[in-house]
Amino acid sequence: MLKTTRCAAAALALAFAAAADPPAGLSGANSSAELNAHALASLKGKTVAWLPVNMGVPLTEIWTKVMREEAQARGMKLVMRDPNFSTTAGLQALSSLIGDKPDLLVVHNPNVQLYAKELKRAEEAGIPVIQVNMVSNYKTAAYIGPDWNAVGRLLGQEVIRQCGSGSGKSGKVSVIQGELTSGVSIGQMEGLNAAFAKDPSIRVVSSQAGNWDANKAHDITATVLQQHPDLCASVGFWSTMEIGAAQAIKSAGKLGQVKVYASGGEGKVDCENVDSGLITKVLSYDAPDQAKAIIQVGSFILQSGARPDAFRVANFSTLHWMEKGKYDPALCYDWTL
Amino acid sequence: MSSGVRYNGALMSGGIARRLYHRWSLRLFLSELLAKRWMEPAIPFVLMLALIAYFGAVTPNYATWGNARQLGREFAEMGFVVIAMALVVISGGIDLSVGSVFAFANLTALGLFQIGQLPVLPVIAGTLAAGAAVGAVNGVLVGYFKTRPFLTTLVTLIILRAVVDLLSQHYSVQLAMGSNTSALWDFLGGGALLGIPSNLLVLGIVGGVGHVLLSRSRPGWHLTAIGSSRKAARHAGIAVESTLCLTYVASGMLAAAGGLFYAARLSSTGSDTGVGWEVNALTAAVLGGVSLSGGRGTVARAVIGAVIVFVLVNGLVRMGFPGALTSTALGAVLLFAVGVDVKWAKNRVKAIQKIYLNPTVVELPPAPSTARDSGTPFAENDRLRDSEEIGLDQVEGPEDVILDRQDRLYCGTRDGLILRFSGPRFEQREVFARIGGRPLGMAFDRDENLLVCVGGMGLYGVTPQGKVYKATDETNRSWFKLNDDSRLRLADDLDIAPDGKIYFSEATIRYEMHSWHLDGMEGRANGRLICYDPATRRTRTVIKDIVFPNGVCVAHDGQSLLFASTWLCSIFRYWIDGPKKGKIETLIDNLPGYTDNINRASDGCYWLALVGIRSPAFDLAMRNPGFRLRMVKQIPPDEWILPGINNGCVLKFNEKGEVLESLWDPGGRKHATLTSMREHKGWLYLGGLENNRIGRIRLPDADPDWNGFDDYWRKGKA
Amino acid sequence: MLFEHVLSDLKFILFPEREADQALPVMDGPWTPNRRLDEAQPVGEDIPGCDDIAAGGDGGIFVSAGRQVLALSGAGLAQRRVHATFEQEVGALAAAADGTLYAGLDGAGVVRLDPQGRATARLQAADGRPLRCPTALALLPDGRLAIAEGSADNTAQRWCHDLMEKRASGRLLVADADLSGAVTILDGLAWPAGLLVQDRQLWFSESWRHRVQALPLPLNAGAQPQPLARNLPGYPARLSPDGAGGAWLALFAARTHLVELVLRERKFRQEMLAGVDPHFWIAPSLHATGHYLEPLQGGALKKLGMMKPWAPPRSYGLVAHLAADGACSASLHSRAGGLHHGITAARVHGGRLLAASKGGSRLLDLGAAAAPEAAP
Repeated sequence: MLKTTRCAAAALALAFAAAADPPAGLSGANSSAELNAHALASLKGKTVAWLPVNMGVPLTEIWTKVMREEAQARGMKLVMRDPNFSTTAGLQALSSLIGDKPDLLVVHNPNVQLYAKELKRAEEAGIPVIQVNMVSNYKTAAYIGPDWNAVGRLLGQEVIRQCGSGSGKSGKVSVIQGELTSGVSIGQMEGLNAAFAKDPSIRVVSSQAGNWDANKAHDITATVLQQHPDLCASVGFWSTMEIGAAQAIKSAGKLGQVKVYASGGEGKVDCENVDSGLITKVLSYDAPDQAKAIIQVGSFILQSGARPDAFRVANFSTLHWMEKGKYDPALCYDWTL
Repeated sequence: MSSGVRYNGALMSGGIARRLYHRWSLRLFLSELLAKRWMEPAIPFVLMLALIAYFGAVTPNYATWGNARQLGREFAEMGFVVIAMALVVISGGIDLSVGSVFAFANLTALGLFQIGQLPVLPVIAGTLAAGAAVGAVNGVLVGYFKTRPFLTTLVTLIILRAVVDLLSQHYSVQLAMGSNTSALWDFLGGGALLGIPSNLLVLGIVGGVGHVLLSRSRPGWHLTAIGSSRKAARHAGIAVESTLCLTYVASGMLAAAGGLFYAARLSSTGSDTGVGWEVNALTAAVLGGVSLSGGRGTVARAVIGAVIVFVLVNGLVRMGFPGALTSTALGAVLLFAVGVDVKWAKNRVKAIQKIYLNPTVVELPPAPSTARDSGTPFAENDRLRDSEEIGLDQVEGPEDVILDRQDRLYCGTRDGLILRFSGPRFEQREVFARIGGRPLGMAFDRDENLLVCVGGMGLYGVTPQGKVYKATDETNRSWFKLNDDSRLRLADDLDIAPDGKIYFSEATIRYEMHSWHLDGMEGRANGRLICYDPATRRTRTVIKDIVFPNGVCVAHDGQSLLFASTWLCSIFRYWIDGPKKGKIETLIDNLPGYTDNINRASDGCYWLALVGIRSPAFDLAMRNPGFRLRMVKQIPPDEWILPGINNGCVLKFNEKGEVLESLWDPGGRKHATLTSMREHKGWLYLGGLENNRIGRIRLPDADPDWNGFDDYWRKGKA
Repeated sequence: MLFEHVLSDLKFILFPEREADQALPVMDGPWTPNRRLDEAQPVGEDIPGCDDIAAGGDGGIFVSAGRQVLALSGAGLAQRRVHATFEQEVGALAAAADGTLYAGLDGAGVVRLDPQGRATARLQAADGRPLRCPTALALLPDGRLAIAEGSADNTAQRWCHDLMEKRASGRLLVADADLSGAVTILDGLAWPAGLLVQDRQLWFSESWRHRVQALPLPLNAGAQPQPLARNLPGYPARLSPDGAGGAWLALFAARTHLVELVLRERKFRQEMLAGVDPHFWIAPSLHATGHYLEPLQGGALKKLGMMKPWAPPRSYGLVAHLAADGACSASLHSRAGGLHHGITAARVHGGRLLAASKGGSRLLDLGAAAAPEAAP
């Protein structure tokens, strides 16, 4: 798995090398030293600004931790702002970061619109921008994160397998979206819809916004369970939020009877939740690996010396199914360590 | 007789430092400063500047034009919401729904523009109408149905938030993916005029107009009045219901305007749009000095508060504070602001009272003896004990008395009337005029109009027919004085020069009629001599900074003016004509009592009322300002030591300032607080500020035909 | 100077309860003002300078007045004769059952008089210190005499100086019946001015500290006084028994905010003592004249020819009844503008309460002296 990322990164680097201005005459006896010098000089002392939607959950914490380590290993510095789920604060933080002119900006968009104009402004100010997981309507140099459409499709197919035609189940599915206008929700919803379209027995009885909040997911699910005691599956767009739905199902005594699916990258928490049977299956993207990819891609962008809007690339995260007893233990990271 | 005391009480002894110390006082400055209305927003304003300066210093690239523009753009929407909140708070209510109205407007604007594909102007109109509609719901409930603003708007907040969530559920993805654009829309969202972001520009205009409307227009005053006291406003005839209703409508529209700009700028329908903004707005409003209890605040203050909150939050975000800590900090600021608001509202007046009074040193030499056997002209006697009573228990506080050519007796009373007594024994009492205020000194002009100094109002006149007219109620304002001294606070006594100019004293510009004795506690040169010229209708201050100028009398030759300085126990002469014109001389000083009104006597001398007699303990207190200060602070007013005004005494002095004789009512059995006397046809009429009668005694040696009016206006014509 | 006031402010903040003890109490509850002293009938002609009252042998009373001790007797105490005359003002009196009378002479100690009024013994010094200011006398159960000396610095006439100088040099002494062997029991008192022997206690008042305390009997040096009544609204003077374990207390003037302020103001007070005629000081008085040179307080302004009775009183008439536990249960007043001020002694005689109004120069009959219901 690690290998695949490295390969992808290397390929990307080659692509950049072709597109951007390479240092003159990198061949001959001295070429290794020159490449070394170029790479070091391109990164040393550079600042990576990082704006998550919030801190305090495993995903953003591990990202931040790994990114910082990776950046420091390359002689770069990471600065982080935590808007704590506030779009107002997030926007202000973004504006101020642009004002501070970092060398690279890494953004986690609360929704597809909010930062769009600011991201454009950042590029105009000469700052390359990498978007992580939650993408904006305004695409920048690189996107790193899952192909959410694929995530939705995979989740949908799993639901069909459990609840679809021939399963003998009701086929009723409840969907807990995140922030509705988040790239994550929009993508997964499209994928789900595409998958469900293939099996007419699947009925989405509820599709509501949980706004990344486990409490809200709990409340929604509790209500849905009352209206549809024969619910077959609950799908959540983020495992941390979906725990709320799982708790509601557990409280209703339907654990195991109602299947719980979610996507996520919460490490140890996800592992524990599938082990305890709270969540049936998690479709995981390897968060520490994503963080490494961010810095790697960022490093390539900086070395390439290209204009921030010179290219638009994506590095889709590898997806891994996790279910009770069946998952790669490497996915169970503990960010507190 | 004079030893050269100055009318402003400047110390004659001690070093220059001591004199300056007592002449200028930091406390005086502070207390007058605190009393100013603009002091209230001054503190938030300074705080705002300090915050900006601080973040400018610690944050790189902060103090740049680009950053300022960016901050301005981000600030503007919150500015609208804060003004919306402030308006309602000033009206005595609260609008918790501003945040959800903001979100609702954002969604409405985006919906109309992206889904409805409407042109921008209808979008603006529709959005504002939506805000107004929500405001109208609040307004009707609060204004007409008298529901509690807190609960009402809380319900609106919840319902509207649910509506926003529901609509988002259906449309937000569509909105987020919408692609309708227009130049005007882009201008609203990201345009600028003269470098000023569009939304900030509109905020500035709305704020400016709102500020003027609120603080300088009738509807604004109504709003403030309702906020101060709904009941009182209703009694005053203000349409409370409709005004309140409109306030909420305005609040809704303002919040909607914020939402509109937000929509245009970000096209974002995030679920947390406007969440918690009501708290931020409330914090900002209170921080800016809009009182939570209503009735106090302006738009400008709200905006100042908004800037503080915005800069603070923004600064903390910039400095990389964790989000939760920023919210906590804001909460702490709100708590602090509310605490200060409550304390300030409660204690400001008290604080001013505590430090308003600023005693200074008044040093008088030991008083001449008044003992019966002292042999001085001041020797105590009982010559006023047998005075005839006029209008006993029919007058309250005839400070001054005067008689007209028909021998009718006039006096002012403490309930603002001018009474006239007539008949051979003055048994007929009639109300000659109703002026209001506190009528004090009086004089007849050439046309037999009665000019009256009215404490709290100014200089007024009454025609012989009893018609009241205003002569003047203001003079030129002096520079470098915090207290606006152009209005007349305590016009005291007057006299009229041969050229018709009216000279009058204003005893103090720092105290009102009801607290005149506090000026004595202070002993400062707070009074002035003012001249009003009826020919030009102009008023100007002739002498500033006099220690309680009281009685005024034009000398027999018409060339000079005598005026009394009460706390200095002195008489000064001010030349208004002749070779010494403009000069001020000390005529008599160190009298044994406090000088009040001065009037002409028939024999070319002058009568002087001593309103009180100096007691040695009070003299000592006057030399000890610290003692007086602590007395005022520590013990109730009824217990303060006062000048000894439970006494009646009239003196006669000549043109040279020699005191010739005195007439006494020791202990003031009949004439306590004797403030005036008037000679008329062989009698001396006596008035007293706090008395329940007018008295008169026969003057056996006086010219039985002499009267004031003829002496002033018919001299040589008879 | 400045520092002194800062310190007093600090004290005020740090020890509010200490300050509260000095804070002028409001006259309410049992202290609520009334006109009972003003309404009292004088006993016979005026007695200028009347000061103390003691029981006489023949059903009459002795009254000290000026330089004389008068004996009043007969129905309505109408008969009056001079019992003794001295070269000094006579103040305190104490009568023994055998007709012996002890009298305090201002500036000259204590004298013992036989039933005929002849001096049989004198006490003019004690413990090596002259005894010049006897203010109260009381006979102890063992026959000895308790003596209150108001001050070592001032004579009784100069009580006002003693107050304004903030002295505390008074003593409590005990002498044998023949005035020999006088010893000091307590020293450093602020004008002790009243003595009363109760069951197993000696009550004494301390004027400048506005309190009444008790010492256990028999007296011995080093005994600690117990508080009975404190922070009284006036300056307490003589005590007399009510027959039920309580006491009648004469207070010769009321405390006022202004005087208390002046007592706190060292510089102002010293200047006043040095430069102002004592008649016109800011100080309490036994008899305010209303003279225009006396300091005037705001509440005393004549308005519409009247002075309010609640004006701050320069002089005042006040008699209080203290229950056995020292708590005030009732009081009799003569307020500002009244005549019967400066009450120096109150004593029950023949079932009637008599009071000496030194300020009003009268002996007052306050009617049947049924002690108000004492608190159990």
